[in-house]
Amino acid sequence: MPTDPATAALWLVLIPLVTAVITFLLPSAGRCLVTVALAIALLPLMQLIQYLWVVDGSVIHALGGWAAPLGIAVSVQGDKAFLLALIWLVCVGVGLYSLRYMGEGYKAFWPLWMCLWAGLNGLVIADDLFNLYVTLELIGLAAVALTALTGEAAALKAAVRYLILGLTGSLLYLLGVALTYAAYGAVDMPTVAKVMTATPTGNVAIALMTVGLCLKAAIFPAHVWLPPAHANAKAPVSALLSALVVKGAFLILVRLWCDVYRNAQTSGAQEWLGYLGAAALLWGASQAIIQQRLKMLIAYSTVAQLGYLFLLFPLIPTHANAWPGVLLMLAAHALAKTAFFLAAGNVIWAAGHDRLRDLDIVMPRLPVTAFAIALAGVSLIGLPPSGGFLGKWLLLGVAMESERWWAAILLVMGGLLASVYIFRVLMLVFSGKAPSDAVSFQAPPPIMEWAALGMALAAIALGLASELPLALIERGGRP
Amino acid sequence: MELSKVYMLAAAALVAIGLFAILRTNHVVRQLLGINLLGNGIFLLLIAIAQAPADAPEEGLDPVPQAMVLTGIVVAVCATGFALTLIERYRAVSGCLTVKEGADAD
Amino acid sequence: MKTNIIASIISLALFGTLAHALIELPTNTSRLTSLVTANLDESGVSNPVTAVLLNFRSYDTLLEMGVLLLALIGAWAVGPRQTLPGHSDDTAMLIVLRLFVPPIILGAAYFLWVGAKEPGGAFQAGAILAGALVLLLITGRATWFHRDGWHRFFLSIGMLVFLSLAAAPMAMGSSLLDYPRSQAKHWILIIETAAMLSIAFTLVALLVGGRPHCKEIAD
Repeated sequence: MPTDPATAALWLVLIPLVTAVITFLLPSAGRCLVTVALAIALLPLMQLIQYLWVVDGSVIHALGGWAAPLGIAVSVQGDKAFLLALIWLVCVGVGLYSLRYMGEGYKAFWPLWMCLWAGLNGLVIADDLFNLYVTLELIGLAAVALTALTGEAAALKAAVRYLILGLTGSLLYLLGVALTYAAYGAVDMPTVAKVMTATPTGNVAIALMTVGLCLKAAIFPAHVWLPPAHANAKAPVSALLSALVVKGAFLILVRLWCDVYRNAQTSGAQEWLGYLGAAALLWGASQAIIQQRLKMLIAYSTVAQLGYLFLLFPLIPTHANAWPGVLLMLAAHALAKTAFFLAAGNVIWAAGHDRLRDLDIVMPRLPVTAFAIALAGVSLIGLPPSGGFLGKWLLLGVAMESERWWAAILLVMGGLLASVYIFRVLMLVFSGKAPSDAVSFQAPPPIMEWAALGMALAAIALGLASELPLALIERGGRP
Repeated sequence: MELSKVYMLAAAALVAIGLFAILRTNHVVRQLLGINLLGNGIFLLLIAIAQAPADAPEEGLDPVPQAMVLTGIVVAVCATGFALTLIERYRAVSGCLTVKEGADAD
Repeated sequence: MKTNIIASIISLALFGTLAHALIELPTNTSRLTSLVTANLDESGVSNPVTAVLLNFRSYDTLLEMGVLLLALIGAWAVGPRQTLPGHSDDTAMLIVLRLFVPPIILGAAYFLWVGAKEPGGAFQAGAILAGALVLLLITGRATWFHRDGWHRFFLSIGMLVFLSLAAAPMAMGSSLLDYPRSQAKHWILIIETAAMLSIAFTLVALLVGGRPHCKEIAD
């Protein structure tokens, strides 16, 4: 296996791709192969983290031995290693859950998920604008196919909408890449950053890429496709989509604005992304409060939580605490939302539906799942000692420091709104209604309940043991 | 005006027409056609970008955007093929080819 | 009506901005042309586009083959395919088959080979080969197309070969996709041949849509 830290990052793309091909060739072995792949992927991941820990540098790798800008380069710094580890952890949680949850009828789940994982890892390590387009398509098509997996009308409809918006978004991004090449003669991000000056072509390019990526990141008002897609997919798929997929486009946006086009920012255009974040926060949370179905509630909660990531977007390059704060929020949300969606899958498994008003007789019989929802809720609201609290604390500090009082108020208000919809769910546990045996109840397998709880515990642990991730993020410089 | 600029303007027109088709209708097959038009506009733009600059014709064609077009075409073909299968399935299950706003609450 | 007006305004605005950006495009920007030309001798092929696709930027092409396989897995996940035409003994079709299928296969092989020097390559060859497959399929002559195992093998061989050859240099202590410079030509040809087969089969499978039925396999 890997000997050179630079190739370790590439193994994280190759392992899922190879697994995708083999699970396609041997469909009945999907379950075992994916488990093995998840275990093997730990090796390069640990090697990468260990290397960055000791050397405190940046790992850069020129593919095929051709240095950028002629070839394609990938690079890993502390923050990227943190994201790779996060993706792996969410995949482990989803994998444990799916071992029992995904029945024989869903053989396509395993290769599709592996393509998604390869795409996400590829997106994180990529340093090339065109290569990012290919990873975006890999992620986007896999996500749509996974959404449609149930074959039900609602899921198919959501998948079709998701596909149309996703393809439009990635093509607008590609148009921006084409203009970037026309204006600066390269698509390698560090090269473009060096020769970057504010030209009309460059400005149009960044505007088009931003619009396309906003469509894919489902930031308000482009969020309309997200709730139906995330709510109608299978539970592990919803978890992957909410925890990881929408974050991919956000990560590219950060790299574009804070890294590539940093020197060319002439106007306060990125301020608008902050305002959109604020709108998303309020709209998503208020919609979550009035939803009638558990999974729709969780999906709207994702719309709101994405708002936190965008709220202080303009400050990421200038304030030292903004990027770690955003990354912690991102990771805490990913873990908590995985736990929440997996728990919702348990509820649907037990009750056969997710209508909130009829769940009061089911929830008290699922103590482990209910506990997972409570812990995930603690992180989503931002209560100590969770990862969500710590991320919000850092962002609050940045908002105060820059005297953005509106952002500070919204950070607190977002937590209050989140507590309303979280308590709407938790109240069901303590409804006091005697669990009636007349209602059909099918106990979910323990591994599914414990997978959900494990993810929720990880979201809490992120806050308790925050020194490690925060130190890792600082390694090897920031975007 | 140079010839490559004419191609670039034609590409911009194709992109705009494609976007118009995506925005104006709820019919998903028409939207998919719009997406393909948008994509073809981008490919035409990349081909035009690959032309040698007028002041340095000896440089010749730039192969990098041309290679990007080939990669882009394969991705576009894959996405279209998958999209048509998905849309056909959606039509078979729901009996319609439009996705309306709203009515998703339950 | 309202959507028409909004759509027109947005599209016209996009056209205006794009046209402005393209007319303002500086003509003196440095490009990668000279870099490609300077390194062409070491790439193993003399067609610069093929050199970019399969050597300088082969990582993109590897992921692109992943997208190809992914689209097919996605299409199969969505639902079963429609019934395919049965065996046809129509005289006109037979003549068409005899006249066209052999030259099409020959043409595909030619485009694959010529890709190293002139326009051509795996995708062009694969698209042509797919034409022959479609002819065989609509006359009911490609029964092996329904055999699940073989079908899956041909669909994924491009990815299998590409991934193995991409990772092989890593095992030899070099970097991903770093073919030995002296043998680059052969490595590229092997990858392209496998890719052509997968591209042709995937295109036909996407045309048919949906996964094969169990019943078809029994037939």
